[in-house]
Amino acid sequence: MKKFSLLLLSLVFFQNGFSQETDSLNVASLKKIYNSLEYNTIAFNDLKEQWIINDPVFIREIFNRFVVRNAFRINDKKVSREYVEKTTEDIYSGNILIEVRQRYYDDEIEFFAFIPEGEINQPNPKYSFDPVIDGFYLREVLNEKIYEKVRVRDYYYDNLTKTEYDVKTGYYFNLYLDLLEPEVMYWSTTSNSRNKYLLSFFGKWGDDHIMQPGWYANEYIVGSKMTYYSNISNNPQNYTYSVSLGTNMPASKPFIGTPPAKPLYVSGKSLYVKISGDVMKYIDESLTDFDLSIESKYTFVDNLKTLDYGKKSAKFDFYSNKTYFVLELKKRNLFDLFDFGQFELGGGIGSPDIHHLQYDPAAAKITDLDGKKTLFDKFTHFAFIDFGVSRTGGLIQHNLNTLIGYNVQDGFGYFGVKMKVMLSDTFGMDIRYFNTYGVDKKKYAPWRYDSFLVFSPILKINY
Amino acid sequence: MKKTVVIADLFVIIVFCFVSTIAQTNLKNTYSKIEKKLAEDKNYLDISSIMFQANSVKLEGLQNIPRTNEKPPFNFNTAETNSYEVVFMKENSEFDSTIILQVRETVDKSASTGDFFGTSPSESSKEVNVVLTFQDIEELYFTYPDTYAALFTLTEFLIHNNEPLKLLGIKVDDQVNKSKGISSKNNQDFLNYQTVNSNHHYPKVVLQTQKKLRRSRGQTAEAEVVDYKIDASFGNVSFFYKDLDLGYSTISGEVDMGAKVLNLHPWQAMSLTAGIRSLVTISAAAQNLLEDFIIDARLMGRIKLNTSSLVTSLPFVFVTTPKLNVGSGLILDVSATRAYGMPFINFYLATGATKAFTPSVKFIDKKGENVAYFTPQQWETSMSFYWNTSEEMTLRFRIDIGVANYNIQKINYSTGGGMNQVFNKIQPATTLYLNFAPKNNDFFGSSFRLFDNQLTVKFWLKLLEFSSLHSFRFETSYISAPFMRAVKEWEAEEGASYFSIRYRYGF
Repeated sequence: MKKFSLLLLSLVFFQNGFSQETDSLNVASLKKIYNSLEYNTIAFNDLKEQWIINDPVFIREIFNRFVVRNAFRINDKKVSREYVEKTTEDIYSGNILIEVRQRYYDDEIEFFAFIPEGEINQPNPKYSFDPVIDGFYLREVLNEKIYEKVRVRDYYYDNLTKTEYDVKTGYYFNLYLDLLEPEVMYWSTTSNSRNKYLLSFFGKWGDDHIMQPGWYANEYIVGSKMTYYSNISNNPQNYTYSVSLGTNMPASKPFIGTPPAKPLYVSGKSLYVKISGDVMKYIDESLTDFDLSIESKYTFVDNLKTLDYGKKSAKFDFYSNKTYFVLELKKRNLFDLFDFGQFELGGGIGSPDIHHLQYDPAAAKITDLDGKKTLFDKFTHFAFIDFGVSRTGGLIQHNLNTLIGYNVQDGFGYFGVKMKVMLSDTFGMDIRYFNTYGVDKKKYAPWRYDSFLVFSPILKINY
Repeated sequence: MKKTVVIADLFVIIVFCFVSTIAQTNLKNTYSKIEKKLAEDKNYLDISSIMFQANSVKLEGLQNIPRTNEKPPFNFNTAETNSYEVVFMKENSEFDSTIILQVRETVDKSASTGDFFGTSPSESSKEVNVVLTFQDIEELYFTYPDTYAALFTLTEFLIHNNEPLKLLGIKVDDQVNKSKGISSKNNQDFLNYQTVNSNHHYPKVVLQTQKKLRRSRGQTAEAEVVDYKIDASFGNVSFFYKDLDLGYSTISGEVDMGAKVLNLHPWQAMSLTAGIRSLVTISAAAQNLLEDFIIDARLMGRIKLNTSSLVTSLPFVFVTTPKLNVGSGLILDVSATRAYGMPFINFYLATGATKAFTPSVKFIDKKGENVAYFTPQQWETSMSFYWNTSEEMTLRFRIDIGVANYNIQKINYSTGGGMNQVFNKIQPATTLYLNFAPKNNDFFGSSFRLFDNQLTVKFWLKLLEFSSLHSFRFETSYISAPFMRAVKEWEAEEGASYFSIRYRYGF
C-alpha cells in the first residue's frame, strides 16, 4: 500500500510538475508576445500624458471594479482575499492612489497602477498590484463608462506630464536678446565636423565686478566675439575658449532717478577685449570646468564727441572711467545641489581707474583735476567672490548667484544677487540687485549709488 | 494508517490539480487578453499581414489543422472566392523570428451567388472570419510543432515574395514631433515671408509638405497667371506688368506715403515716395529660387508733401498735427538672401539735401520761438532670422535685429533761420514678425517693432478672397508715445493709429 501510494504520488507529482512548468513557460512566452504587440514608444515615456488619480471616491469605485472582476494580480498570480482586505484599509485611509499614463500617439491608457502614496516619487516604485498595461483589458475590467471617465479626467487628479521637451543647442543661428548682455550669432563653421567656430555680435552694459552694473554704466560696449567649441555641446557653457573685441558708445540710463551731483560720464573711445576659456585642463587634465577670464577696457583716445553730458554752457566737473581690468576664475559643476542645479564658485579682482575731470564747453577742453596723481593712483581695486547654482537643460534654466565684493582702498564693500531664469530656454528675465556696506560717505565716490537694481527681459531664439 | 495515507494522497492530488488548474487559467486569461487586443486595438498594433490564395501556394503539412475549443480541424479552401491573410508580428527586440498571430479567411460571396438585382463587383459582399485564432496557432506551436513549422514556412515564403501590409493605424511618420520648430536652410522662409507680406510680386514657392498633397484629389487648382499685379492700400500702391519680367529680374513700380525708419504713419510723414523695385536672382546654370542669391532692391525718390492739415482730417489716420518735416531725397532699400552662410541682410538709406529746406510745418515751441524740425537722412541695417513652429510652416516668425539712425535739424526762425543738428544717434532696432498661413494661405500677420523707445504694432487680417486673384485685407497699426525717456519737441506726446484696406490682385 505504501509503495503504491509512493508510486501514485510520484506520478501525480511528476505529471503535474511537468505540466505546471510547461504552462508557466507558455504563459511567459505569451506574455512576451502580449507586451510586444504595440508599436514601441519607450523613448517617449517621459513625454506621455501621465497623471495621478487622487479622487478618493473615484479610487474606491475603480478599486471595487477590480475586486468584483477578480482582476488583481501580483506577479501574474491572483492575490489572496486577506491581501485585498489589507489593501482596502489603505484605500479607506487614502494612502493608495492610481498612476495613469496614456499612449503617445493616441489617448488610450497604456499604464494603470495602484500605488501607495509614499512610492510616487521613488525611482522604482512598489505598486500595490501588477500594473495593467493594456487599455483594452482595463476597459473590460472597469467597463466602458468608467474607462472613459478615467481617460477624460473628470475628477481630482495631479498632472505629471512634462509640458516641454529639454532644450538643445542649435548652431544655425542663435539670438540671445538681453539688454544687459545681448548676443547675435551671425556665422558658424567647422574645421573637422566635430568642432564649431561661432561668430557673434555682442553687447555689454556695465560690469558687476567693478560695481557698475547694467544701467548704471554710461556706456555700452558693442563688438564681435568668436567662440570655439572643440566638441559640439548642448550646454553653451562647455565652450573651449572665446575672444571678444569691441568698443564703447554712450548709453542713457533708464529708471534710476536723479543722477548724482558729479556723475560718471564717458570721455573717450575705448577698446574692449575679453578672453575666456576652460584653460586649466591644459595644466592638468583633471582640472576641467574652470573658466578663466581676463577682461579689459582701455580708452585710447579722448573724444569729446562721445561726451554724454547733455546741454551745458558753464564749466562742470565730472568723473570718468577710462580703463578697467577684471580677472576671474570660476569653477563650474562643483556638486549637484539637490535638484536645484550645479553649484559653482568663482573669485577674482576688478580694477577700474577713475578720472576726476572738468569740461569747459566754451573752450571745448577737458582738464584733469587729479593731475598730480599718477595713473596707478587713479586705480581702485575690488576683490570679489561669486557663488551660486546653475542649471541648464530641462524646462527651466537658471543662474542664481551671489556676488560679494570689497574695495580694498576705500574700505567699503558690496553684495548682491544675480538671477537669470529662463523658461524652455526661450523667455526669461535677468535681474541683478546690489547693495553697499561699510560706506564712509566722505570717501565714497560721489558718482556712486548706494544700491543698484537692473533688469532686462530675455528672448532667446536658437536653431 | 492506510486510511490516513489514502487521505493524504488524495489531498496532494487535489492540491496539484488545483495548482495545475491555476496555471491553465493563467494561460487562458493571457490568450483572452491577446485575442481581445488583436480584435479591438485598431491603432497601435505593430503587426503586418500578407494575403494569399490557397490554390497558389503549396500547402504541405497544412491539412486538417487542429484547432482549440472543440472546433473541427481546419483545411484551406482552394476555391477562387476564398483568400487568406496571415497576420504576424515581425522580429523585434523580444523575438528573433516572425510570430504568427492569426489566419483570416475572406470569402467573396458575390462571386459565387447570383444576385437578382445584378450587384456590381464593386458592391460585392465579403465575409471575413478568423479561421485560426491566436490560441489555435499557439497550441499548434506548443502541441503540433510540425504543423506550426509548415505554417511558418508558408508565411516566410509569402513574406519573401510579397510586400506585407502594415496594420499599424497610427501615422508615426506624419506625427514626428521635434522639440522646436524648423528654420529653413535655404530661401524657403524668406520667400514664404515675402510672398505673403511684400507689396510687390514674389514667385510663390510650393512647400515640401504641399508637394506630397498635390498628387491627391481635392486640391485647389494653381492660381491663374495674370498679366499684371496690383497691391493698393490707403498709403501705398505697387504695380507689376508681365512684360517687366526679364527672367533674371522683375521690375515693378511703387508709390508710398510713409517713411521707413521713422516712427510715423503714412500721410503723417508729409512726404511722397515713388520709384521702382527690382527682384534680381543670381543663379548658377538654371534658376532655382530656393537656392539662388536673391536681391530685392528699390530705388526711389522722395519729395516733401504738405499733408499736415489733410492728415488730421483723414478718417483712417488718428494723429495730431505732425511736427516733423521729412526732407526730399533719394532712397535705396535692399534686402538680400544668405551669402557665405551669413544671415539675410537688409539695408535702407534715405538721404537728401540739408540746406535750402523749406518746411511744411513750423510751430511755436515751449520757449515761444518759431521753429521747424526736419530730418534729411535716415538709415537702417539689420539681419533677418526666420523660423517656423512646425514643418507645415503654419506659424511663421521673423525677427530683424539691427541698428538705425535718423538725424534732426532744427531751424529757428526767431533767431534768423539758423539751422543746427539737434539729434543724430545710432540706436538698436528690433522687429518681430508673426504670420499665420494655414496650408500656405496668407490669413493673418503682425509685427512688433521697437526703435527709439517707441513701439510700433501692426496687424493685418485677410477679409475676402475670390477667384484666387482678388483679395482684401484689413490692416491697422499703432505707434506708441516714447517711453522710458522724455518726449522730444518734434514728437507727438500721444500714441497714433492708422488703418487701411489693402487690395491685392494677382498675388
